[in-house]
Amino acid sequence: MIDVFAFWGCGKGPLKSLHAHIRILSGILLGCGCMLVPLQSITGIVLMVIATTCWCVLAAMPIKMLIRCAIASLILFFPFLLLTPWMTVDSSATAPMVERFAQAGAIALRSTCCLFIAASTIAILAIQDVHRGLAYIPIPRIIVVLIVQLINQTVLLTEETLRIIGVLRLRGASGVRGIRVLFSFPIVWMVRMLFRAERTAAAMTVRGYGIEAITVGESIKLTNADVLTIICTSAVLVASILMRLKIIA
Amino acid sequence: MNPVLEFKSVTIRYPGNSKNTISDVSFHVHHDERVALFGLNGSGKTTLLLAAVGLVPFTGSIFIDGIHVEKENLQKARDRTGFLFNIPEDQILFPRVIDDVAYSLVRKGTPMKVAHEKAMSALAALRVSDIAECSPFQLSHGQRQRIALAGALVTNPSVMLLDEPSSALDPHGKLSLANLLRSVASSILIATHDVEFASRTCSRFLVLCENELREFHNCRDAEQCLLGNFSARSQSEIPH
Repeated sequence: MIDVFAFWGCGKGPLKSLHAHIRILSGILLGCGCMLVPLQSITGIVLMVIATTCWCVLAAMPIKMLIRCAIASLILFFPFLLLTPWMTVDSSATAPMVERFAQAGAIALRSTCCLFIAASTIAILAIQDVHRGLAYIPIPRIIVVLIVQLINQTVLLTEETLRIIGVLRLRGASGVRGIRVLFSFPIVWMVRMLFRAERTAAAMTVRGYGIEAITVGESIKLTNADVLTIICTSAVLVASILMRLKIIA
Repeated sequence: MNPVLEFKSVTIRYPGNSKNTISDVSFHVHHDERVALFGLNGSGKTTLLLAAVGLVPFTGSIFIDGIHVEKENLQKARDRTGFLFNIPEDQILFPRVIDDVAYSLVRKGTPMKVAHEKAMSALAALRVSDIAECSPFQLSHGQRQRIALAGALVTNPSVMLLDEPSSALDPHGKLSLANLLRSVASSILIATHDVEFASRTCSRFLVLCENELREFHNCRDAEQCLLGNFSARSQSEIPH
């Protein structure tokens, strides 16, 4: 198995035993909760950090993957802290530096938590569960078809890209010498992707691919763990909304 | 008896090309017949198969199971066809093997459970039932080819159009595929370079060369014709 798929289904925690659609739905609910929770209060920060930590622990991603996530969030989100001097707090450009730092930190913290939740959700979801999981979620079929194909085609394109990179390395275009092919790579890549897209479209046409692709099989009986997970993640979302609406502190 | 697949004076020219890829080709495949289509690289074998399912514009007439392949009837004709593309991963559309193989049945209204049972049988026939729950992305090229083939076989189509079905298979896989294709109840047209595989599977052999189609009932004769074409092409390409 190549590295691209290493994230999918790598978790070993109890969440992995839930039904696929419950895993997806719970991840979405928790992600939404973290996006909505206000971080001006300690309660909001505590709620977000605890929810994220619990989700990650129960997903039990391998340490290697956790480190990768941490590195990714450091690279992607912590540069926000560099924007501290230009942050405005409550539309005021003259707020104290501590408040500006808190503002920038809140953005970085929220983004980091969302990244960890997304990664943990992927970790408890084998790629082959995506299609069936989404089929049981009550959303329009056409959206499910699009999501399934987005994932499917992304994996194929990544695989193709890795193959091209492998060939470049094999032919001695790595390191400094790689600069020579840097400009031809996008052209080679784009042409191959276009041809692949054309061929896949032809295959979809011949196979009559459409919204019938998303068909629910036999009805699934939810377990106690499924129900408990949905209740807990929904509670996080509801609490976040209530805090944002300032109904609770 | 009416042929299951019939090409009548089919000419194909890709937009922008000054030369026809296929010129005035006619042939037919009868019920339960296996026919091999040979040709040098670029002779138009794949193009001919794509034209049969309406993916390439053509002039002339093509009939699949009596259905005229034209805009109004395309889906009907495709529903009677099992198609294997020469790059199998292009036609794998689901992240789980069993879902992909069962799709053609599910689309036609077969209950999910029955569809999955039939898909398992198709996979078992190709000796890959152990990977039914895997993701196709974790598999080798040969395994993907068998999955794509299972997806084409599962509906018991009237006609199967197979583009290089043996290209990624090991010798044992080729042998079992040849046996399987001989036993299915579909008419089969196979575009291939694999003479040995074709001789095991097919009873009639077509050679596509320089826009002309020649028919043989003996695989060795077809191979000789192909080699003759190759020599002629090679000599014409040597600068004098």
